Amino acid sequence: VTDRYPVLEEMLHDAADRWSIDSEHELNRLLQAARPRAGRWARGSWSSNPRRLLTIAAALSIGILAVAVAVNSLHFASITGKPGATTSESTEPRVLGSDVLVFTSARGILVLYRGSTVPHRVVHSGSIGISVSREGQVAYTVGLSEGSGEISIRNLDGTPGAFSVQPVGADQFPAWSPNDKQIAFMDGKNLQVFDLGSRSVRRVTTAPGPCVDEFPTWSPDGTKIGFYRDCDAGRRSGIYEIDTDGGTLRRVLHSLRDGSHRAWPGTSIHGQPTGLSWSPDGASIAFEMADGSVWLVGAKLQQNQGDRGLPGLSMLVGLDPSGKTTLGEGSIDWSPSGMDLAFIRGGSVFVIDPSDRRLYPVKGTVGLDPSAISWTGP
Amino acid sequence: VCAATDVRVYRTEIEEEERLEDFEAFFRRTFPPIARSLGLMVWNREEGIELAQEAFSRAFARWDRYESHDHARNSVLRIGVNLARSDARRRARMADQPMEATADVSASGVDVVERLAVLEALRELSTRQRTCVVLADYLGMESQEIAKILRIPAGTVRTHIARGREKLRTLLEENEGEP
Repeated sequence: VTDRYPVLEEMLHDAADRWSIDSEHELNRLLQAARPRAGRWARGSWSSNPRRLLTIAAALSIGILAVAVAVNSLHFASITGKPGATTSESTEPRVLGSDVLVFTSARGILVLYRGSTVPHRVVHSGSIGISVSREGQVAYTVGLSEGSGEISIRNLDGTPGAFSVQPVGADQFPAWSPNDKQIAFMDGKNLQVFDLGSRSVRRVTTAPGPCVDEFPTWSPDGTKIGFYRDCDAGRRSGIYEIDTDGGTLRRVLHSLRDGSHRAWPGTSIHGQPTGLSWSPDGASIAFEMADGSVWLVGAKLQQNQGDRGLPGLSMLVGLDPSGKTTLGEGSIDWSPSGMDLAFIRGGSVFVIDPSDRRLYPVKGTVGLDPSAISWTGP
Repeated sequence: VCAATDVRVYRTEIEEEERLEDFEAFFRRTFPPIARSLGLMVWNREEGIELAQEAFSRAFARWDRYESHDHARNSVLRIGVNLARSDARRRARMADQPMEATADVSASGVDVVERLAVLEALRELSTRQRTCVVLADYLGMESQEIAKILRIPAGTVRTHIARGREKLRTLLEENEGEP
């Protein structure tokens, strides 16, 4: 799909390149408007006074630190039961301690077993989202170009799967149901569910207007599917859940007009999630934002958040201090035991244990720049 | 102490001069294509220029933080796209505006009807589709780059591009078929 489209390219250039734009005039206009600020810089009225700058910086830092500590103490008490607990981030990679982790990278789809530091390749090509069943069948996307794609199945040893998924459209973001009998996926706009028993596909959501429904994740009891509805970052965007029979649709997390999401007072989350994962205890949905921050949202969390009229939303991990944008496509997944949460951060897979809030990069994934992950195990 | 302060101020002035020259070079090279691409997104030349002015002004204020011109360009585009998207009044004006007022038709003797058809067809795309198509097919950016700017997954970008192109093709074919 990223191949050039010369006809359209030519038409767009023909339409827009004839719009006359006087760069010098525009530059002068900008500089004139910015001159007061530039003048202050040049005169060095305060920027050249290091002591004053240091004083201001120190005062700001202390203020921000105090607010952060206060908010952290109040906020995370509800999740951890340990008032004042903070995230402890280790930069030292550790060996994967449990289960089996599958992830995509430029090298293809790779699998990392517990105790191993060398991932094995399952498929040479990448994928837009992946999901692994408890039986070890990897669902991934193939041929996603020019608006069409299919969900393909492979075993962890790289052999072809025993069945194929009926294609619908630009199929991507597969998600196995908890009982391994169904696969939810996005067809480029709506969510579909493929049933292995009947070998048939049925539509679960109908995304209105410009919206697309993505990142399906099953509730642990298999009765609901959570997903993100992207409506051009408009107000209808947000995290939703729907009964798997296509019944009741509920919005879990609302968006504001500017595309941000409401969070606890004084904070809003900007941008769009890069992946969703329903926790094995059913209490919350974890999601990651492109800035690397990880959040939990869920009705049961709301009880702990008081009556602020907001969804039960809590930040589990702060934004990535490296500033690297996370370009995930299904970038977060709970371990089957529910003890650990894996997510993508700064070009590696990270794991956090929400009970003690310690996170670390997983050895064997560092620098491989994964974009989607899925965890499986007994 | 006074001499040290003078040296410091002098250095600051030199740095400011270099900073300004660097920004000016960046502006002259990138302002026209970015203003035009924003114009295509909001579908109006003047609006595109104003959005670009605002985006470049904000970039100028934080010029020291950019690591490269590419970094700055992506930031300007992100700011411009967000401004275009968040301004509801602009959207309302878009809906009412006659095409002739926006297309600068008097400036050329080429196939004005075809150019208007492209702009008209662009209007029919969703905001996200239009943004992705313009960034990919007008500015020639890769889906990974667009994903960084829009902060959405690259797969979603590819989907928007594919769907936007398909819709444009259909609309333009329909337009050709009309008498």
